Amino acid sequence: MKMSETLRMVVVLTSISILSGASLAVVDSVTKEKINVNKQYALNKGLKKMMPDADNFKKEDIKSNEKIIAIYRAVKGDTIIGWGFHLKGSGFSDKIEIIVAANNRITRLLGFEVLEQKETPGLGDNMKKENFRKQFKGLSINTKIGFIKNRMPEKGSNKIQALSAATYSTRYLLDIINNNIENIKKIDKIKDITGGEK
Amino acid sequence: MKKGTPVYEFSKGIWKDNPILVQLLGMCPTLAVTSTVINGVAMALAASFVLIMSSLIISSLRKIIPSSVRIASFIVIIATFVTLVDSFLKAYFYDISKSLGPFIPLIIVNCIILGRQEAFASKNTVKMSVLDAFGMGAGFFLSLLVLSSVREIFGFGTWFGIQVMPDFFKPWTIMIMAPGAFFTLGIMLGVYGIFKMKKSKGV
Repeated sequence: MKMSETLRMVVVLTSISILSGASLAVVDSVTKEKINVNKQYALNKGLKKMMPDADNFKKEDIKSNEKIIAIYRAVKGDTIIGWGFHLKGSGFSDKIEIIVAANNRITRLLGFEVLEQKETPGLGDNMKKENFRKQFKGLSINTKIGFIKNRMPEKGSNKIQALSAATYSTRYLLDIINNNIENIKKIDKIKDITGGEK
Repeated sequence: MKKGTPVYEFSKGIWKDNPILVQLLGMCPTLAVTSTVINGVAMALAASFVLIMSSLIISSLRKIIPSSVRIASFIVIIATFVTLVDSFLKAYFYDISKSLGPFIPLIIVNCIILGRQEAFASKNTVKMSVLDAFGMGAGFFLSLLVLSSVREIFGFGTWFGIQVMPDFFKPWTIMIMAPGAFFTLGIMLGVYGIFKMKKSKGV
């Protein structure tokens, strides 16, 4: 009697798990492609928005890691007109995933787009807003980008105005941009193309 | 209304045993994702779907699942449906899935769902369990709708993203942050209590 009860437990739980696994496998095979398409679409849309002149974005063949997920080369005809970096890093609440666009020599920013973030609604998540993001256009990335609070930074200070009441979100976002771009510039392959750091 | 009738089992979740206002279950998504109506509604629909499907499966398997492994079985079944919803949203409603973030996977541990399986679906017929799940889902949906409407209207001045407050209205940022959720829920519980008290006095 005891044995059969134990056996029943094993059989029932095993069958439920197998059925559940099987149905998830089916769902995954149906939705997987669509999910990737959605992600890639959001990425391409962002790249295109920041570099509207490019005819094509070629994914660079570099080793990706958890911070630098991909590097895209924006080409028009035969010339490189810019770069797109798919970056990820810690935010205030959770990971922030962004794409950053830089000019062809990786000296100036063209802007950034948010792919995924879970910052505080109404505060940190204002990083998605155009008003905040447009400050980044044209900033130099030869030096680190800084921020100041509550007022517009002076022209040429290479600073942005932090999101109000979301200083940490701002700081983490800048960390992602500053640190990763610094590392990207050190990649040999990229150095060869951009002519190295000046 | 008599206990055990289909109408009773359905309607109890909406008012008498409302999962939010009476049972105070599932507080995490209730407080966390209701900053905008669209998020609140999407969360309620996703959780209701999981609740209904799990109740259906679990009530039909109630005689097969041994009671010593019932919780494990419930969790596996619930988790399966949650993962299904998560993939579905990611594939077809990418923006909503992005804004709900980790709260969809967290439906797995939503107490309303596990609570209904343990308290109802594992002891009642398929028909009653599904009715119960629909009722609880509807109660959850309505509570989240009210809560998120109040928060979005005062916090953003919009409802479903459409401007409803006059231009001079300055949004109360606190309403979309965590304290706003607690304030609103507290007031809702208070109002519910007043209604209940009045009703019982009348009788």
